[in-house]
Amino acid sequence: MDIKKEDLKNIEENNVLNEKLNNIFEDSKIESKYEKCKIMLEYININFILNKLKTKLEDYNILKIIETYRKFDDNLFNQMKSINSLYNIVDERALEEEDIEYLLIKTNSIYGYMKEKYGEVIKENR
Amino acid sequence: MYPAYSREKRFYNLLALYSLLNPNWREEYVKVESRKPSEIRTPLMATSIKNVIEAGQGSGELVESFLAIHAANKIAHSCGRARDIMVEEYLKCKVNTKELSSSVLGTDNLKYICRMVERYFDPSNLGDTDNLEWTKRKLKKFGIKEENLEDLRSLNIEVLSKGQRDGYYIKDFEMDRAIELLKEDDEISYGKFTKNMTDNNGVEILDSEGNPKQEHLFVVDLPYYGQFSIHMKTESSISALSDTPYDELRIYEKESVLLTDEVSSWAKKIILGKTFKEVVGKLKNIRRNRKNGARIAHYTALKLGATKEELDELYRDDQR
Repeated sequence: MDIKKEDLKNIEENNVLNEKLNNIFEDSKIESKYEKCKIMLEYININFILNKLKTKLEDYNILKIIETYRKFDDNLFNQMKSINSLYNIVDERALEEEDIEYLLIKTNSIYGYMKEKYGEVIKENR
Repeated sequence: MYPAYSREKRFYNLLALYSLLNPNWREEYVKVESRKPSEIRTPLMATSIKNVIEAGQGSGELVESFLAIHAANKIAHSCGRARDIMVEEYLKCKVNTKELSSSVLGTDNLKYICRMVERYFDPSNLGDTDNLEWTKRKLKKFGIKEENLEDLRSLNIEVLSKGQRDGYYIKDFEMDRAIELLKEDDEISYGKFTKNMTDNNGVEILDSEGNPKQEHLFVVDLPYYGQFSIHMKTESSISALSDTPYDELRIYEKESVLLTDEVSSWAKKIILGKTFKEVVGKLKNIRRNRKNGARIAHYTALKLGATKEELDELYRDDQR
């Protein structure tokens, strides 16, 4: 990949997320890398919704997450709409390395924004 | 945003936008229908999008939802295609004036550049320098500089990127809603159909290990309208329809088309003034003995308003 872990400072600084990031960088198969990225973003969103919004959803699929953010935070709403668009586009063609890079950069931004505006989202392992 | 408007207003606005971005929607409809067997080629009486909107609004929430899914999907694709064409035309100009190398127009490079431009103009960036810097770095390899990106900005590329994102979001929003409605309705047949994915030339798309990449279709048999199917992203197919596979032997319509309750003249002769019970024998016969019989019988039954149970009846003797 063209990006390095250091480019993803927000994620790297949290030891729980950093472990997930290591896992992604160590994976050599593009499809499982992509899936792991999706899972990491989902993990961040679920933690944010449960811990910061104090809300439980029946299902944490991307549409339900978007709907939750729509009523709560415009920026997160738009960010997740972009991610949804990526998922749709990638589903209609072959997966590329840049899709993973883009997803990682977006995840890093989303997590950074959450942390800055609402405080730490993911409890670190001591 | 879309869900905040009244159902009536958002349906009207969505369909109006669909017709603006796809002014050839009638021709597109005729083109899709012309690929079908003549027995099931359905005329479209609507001459303006207003006719489609009025017909949709009078047909219940489910039909309205599927019309919205079709329109939103087309809007997303039209915006994406328009953006790619604008990028290509811009690059052609720059190649002609020798400001950029002709390599930017090579098929793979062009696709790559379009992808990067799409990401550069991600409307959710809002000053997100990481994403902007990353895309600029990628585009620089092709000699594309910030001033080129500013040229593209002045062409309103951002608006198209937003249109594509909103289109996909509305499509998924309506699909989610339609699935909820279908889950409450025992009478309509629907499900997920998984198939190997092919490119525009019909060649299978493979993953990094050489296995075929799969795609999912959301399929529904809408009484009086027909079978409707549309691409569904993997994530939704897992979360919403993992336990609802669609029978592979009953899927005929693999491309989405505008829904209409008009009936082909061939089918009209069979179903006019009849009930399903009265024609099921004849339809079974058509299914077994006519060329494209299963597809024709399935279509005709649906135009008569066949429920899931009645469709099962139509296929029954095959399943013994």
